[in-house]
Amino acid sequence: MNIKKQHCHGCRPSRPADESQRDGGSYGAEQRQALPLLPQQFPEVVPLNVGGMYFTTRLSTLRRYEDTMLAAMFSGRHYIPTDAEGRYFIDRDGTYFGDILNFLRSGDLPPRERVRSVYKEAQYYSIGPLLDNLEDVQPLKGEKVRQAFLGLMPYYKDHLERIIEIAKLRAMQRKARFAKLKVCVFKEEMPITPYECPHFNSLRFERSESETKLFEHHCEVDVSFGPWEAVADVYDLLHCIVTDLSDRGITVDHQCIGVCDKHLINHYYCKRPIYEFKITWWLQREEEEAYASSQSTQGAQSLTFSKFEEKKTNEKTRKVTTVKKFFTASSRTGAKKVAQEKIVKQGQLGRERNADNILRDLKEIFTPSWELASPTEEIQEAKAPSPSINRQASIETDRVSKEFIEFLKTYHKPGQDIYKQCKLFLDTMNHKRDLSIEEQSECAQDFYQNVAEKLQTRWKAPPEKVEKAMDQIEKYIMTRQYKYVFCPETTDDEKKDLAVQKRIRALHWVTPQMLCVPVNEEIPEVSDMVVKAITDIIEMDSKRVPRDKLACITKCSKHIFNAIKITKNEPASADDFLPTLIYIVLKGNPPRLQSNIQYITRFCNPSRLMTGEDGYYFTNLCCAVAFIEKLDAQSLNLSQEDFDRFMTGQASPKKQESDSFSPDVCLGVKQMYKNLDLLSQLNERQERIVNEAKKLEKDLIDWTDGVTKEVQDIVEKYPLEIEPKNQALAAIDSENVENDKLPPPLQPQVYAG
Amino acid sequence: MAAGTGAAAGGRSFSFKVVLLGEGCVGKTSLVLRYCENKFNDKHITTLQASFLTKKLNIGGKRVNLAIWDTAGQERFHALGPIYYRDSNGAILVYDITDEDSFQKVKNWVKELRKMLGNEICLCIVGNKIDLEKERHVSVQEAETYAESVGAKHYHTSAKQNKGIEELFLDLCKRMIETAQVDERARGNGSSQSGTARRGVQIIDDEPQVQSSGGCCSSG
Repeated sequence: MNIKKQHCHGCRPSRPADESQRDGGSYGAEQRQALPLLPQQFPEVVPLNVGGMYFTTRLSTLRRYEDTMLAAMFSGRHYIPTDAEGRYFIDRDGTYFGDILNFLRSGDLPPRERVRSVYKEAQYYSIGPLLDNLEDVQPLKGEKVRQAFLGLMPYYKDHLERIIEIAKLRAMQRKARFAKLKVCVFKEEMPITPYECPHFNSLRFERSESETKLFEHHCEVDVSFGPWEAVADVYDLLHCIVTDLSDRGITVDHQCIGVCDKHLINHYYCKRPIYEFKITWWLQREEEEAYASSQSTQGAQSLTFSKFEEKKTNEKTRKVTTVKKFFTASSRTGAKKVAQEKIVKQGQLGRERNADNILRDLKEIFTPSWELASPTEEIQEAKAPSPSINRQASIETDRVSKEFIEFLKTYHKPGQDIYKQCKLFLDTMNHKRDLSIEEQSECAQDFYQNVAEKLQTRWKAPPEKVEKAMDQIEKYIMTRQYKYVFCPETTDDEKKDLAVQKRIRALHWVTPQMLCVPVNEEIPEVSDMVVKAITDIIEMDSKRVPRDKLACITKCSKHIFNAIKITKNEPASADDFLPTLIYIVLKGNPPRLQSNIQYITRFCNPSRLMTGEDGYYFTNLCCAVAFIEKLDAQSLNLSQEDFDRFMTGQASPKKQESDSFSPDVCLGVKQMYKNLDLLSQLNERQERIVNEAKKLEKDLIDWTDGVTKEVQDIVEKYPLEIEPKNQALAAIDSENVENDKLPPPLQPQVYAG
Repeated sequence: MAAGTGAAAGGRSFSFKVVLLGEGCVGKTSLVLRYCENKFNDKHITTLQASFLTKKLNIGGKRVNLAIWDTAGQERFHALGPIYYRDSNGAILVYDITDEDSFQKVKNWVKELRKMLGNEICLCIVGNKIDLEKERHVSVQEAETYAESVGAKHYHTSAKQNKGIEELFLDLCKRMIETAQVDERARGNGSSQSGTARRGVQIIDDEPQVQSSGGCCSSG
């Protein structure tokens, strides 16, 4: 900075008088005509004009390191043009030249926020030592690590391009300031947790291709990042995406809008988190400032990101030019021209205003006021609606607002008052974003209580009506607050979520028998109920309003009661209910369980949570989670050894009780197992038959052989002999033949007659 | 408790949360089903569940909404107790008169409740199954002396024969109303302000309470 100040005025006086006479006088005239090939003489102190900015330094400074562009330029071997006042001219933006000079003078490195830009300049001037030095300081050191991580990401760059491409396309098609994309970011390939897949679990490692295909699917998103193998998690990657996009001058907001609830098979859902990327193609002044400030505050807050975090002071200007370029390339409509003008204007104004935080708050205030004011005229807020400020309005919020206002109409005067109260509350909450979540929760609780009291005392509303109104108020307020107060970055809710999820995964081997779950899943109706209960508890995460989340828990509980009732044929007591709920939670592994519980505890209308039926089920869910967290061998009636073996995956309880099917297997699979059993029995039988047949064949052959042998034996024993008797007979015959004296045999005689 | 007093501020109506504690098989469910549905081991019970039941009462012109929270009595769930009974106005501790162990369990609960909630909670110790008097293993005297020593009331009930149950709940309600009114008076004039302050404290209390209780269970 000091250089910048110095250079404008300081350069001329700093030149020694004699030199300026000797060189300066002849410079302009001589150099312009001189042949470029002539070696140039440089003064001891060199005046420089770098893209319009003036610097002065010693010649030795410029020549400090050989092999740099500056040393080469001022070696005398090259011709360097001078400006009208005789300064050596370098045709390059001089913003960071001072930093370069400082390094050459004393080895000083630039402040952190300039490191990246100076690095680029150092590359241009090819100052090796500076490059080496800069690479070792933040944020470039971190950048190296980051790039290494991104190197592991398949198609990272391509995906980034795709995001920009789609965003451009959508913005152009709709002529809208925003483009929204759905992006799925998941770290692990396995879309399902092991517990949800008990009978496939043993097959997991030898899963065949067809099975893999069964679980393979593409979430309905525009771009999908993952899986990768590195410690960095989903949030780190999201941060990388945002950083890289904003380096390209693209303003992007992201928000988790739930998980992919694509049903894969049985109760197995995909559950990959889906983020909505909102790309803003041009910014209002307030937003611009807020964006810049939020970029820097975010980094300060989150530890995980800090290593990659960088303050982007020049981000703003660069971004504006990019956006401008984008629109000039295709500016057709008037709206875009206006936008351009705005951008130019805001560039000027932006510099004047530095109270980032105030402006951020202002922006926040404007946002809801427009959202509130626009849907109806009845309740007028005299502010001119400026739709472009409405950055966060989503379809859902609008719908809820409309409903809320419709609802309040039935309350007439108190309705307007309630509306004002709510608006006031939202405004103050927007100012209080910096407060801890507990304090924000307290504010909300106070607000609920105050409004409820007012409804009761001032407007004498009957209890039922109060309750209904409170529900609507909660819905309206929390729909708006959700994204700020659900799983806020300032808490470790997210860490806890992951811990619980991991824990549940690790407990995949727990069977209903171990928990003494009084539910017989072999009854089709019951297993149906169990599936419904699991679906309900998973659905909880997709709701925004605490009461809706509670309703999911209640629905789940009702299904559990049904399952118990069908199995046991008596009303379920807590003794039955809690173990079943634990089982359902283990089986379903609902997403972001801790965050949801915390969110409900903090922002639900307290009267509902304390005594209502919903509150009871919610308390049970809390108990279930607490139980799962602390679960040990004793609580499952297992020996410590068995427990450890199951936990480490050395053994699986299923293999031991091979006879009985685990009841969580679905009907079809059960039938299949039965059929397999039958088949193996048949197989056995057939084998037996074949064996018997072979034996029979052998027996037959043996018998034939035996008989033959016997016959032969007999034949051998009694060989055929021509006995003498026969000879005697023959002799007789021959005698007879010879005996012609015998009368001739009688001849038939024919009698005529 | 906040809910109870909060409603009370609006008029003569109270909402109370009552937790039902006791080992499995002591007849907690039967007790509450008998009270709310007047049914015992009935094949035709239409109620889906007996773990959360409500009852509306009118006691001396005061409307009372009773929410009865059943708790899982198995030993393995013992550590979860605090999550259930926080903010409750009353606790019914049930034991089986034929089962000495179940009475010992009640003693444990009482200690815990007093430790966590102090004297603001109304305790009822209930000896159930008096229809099985012949097989009694817990002496009446022992039980009643114990109850008195810890500031609880003792009741004899039989869910099977529908004995003593109405009295138990009616008595409990009266005591809870009393406690609530005393509480209200003690807080005096600045009702709304103290209300918020109280709740504020409660919220801060909430989180650590759950965690610390969890800690207890793993060690115990």
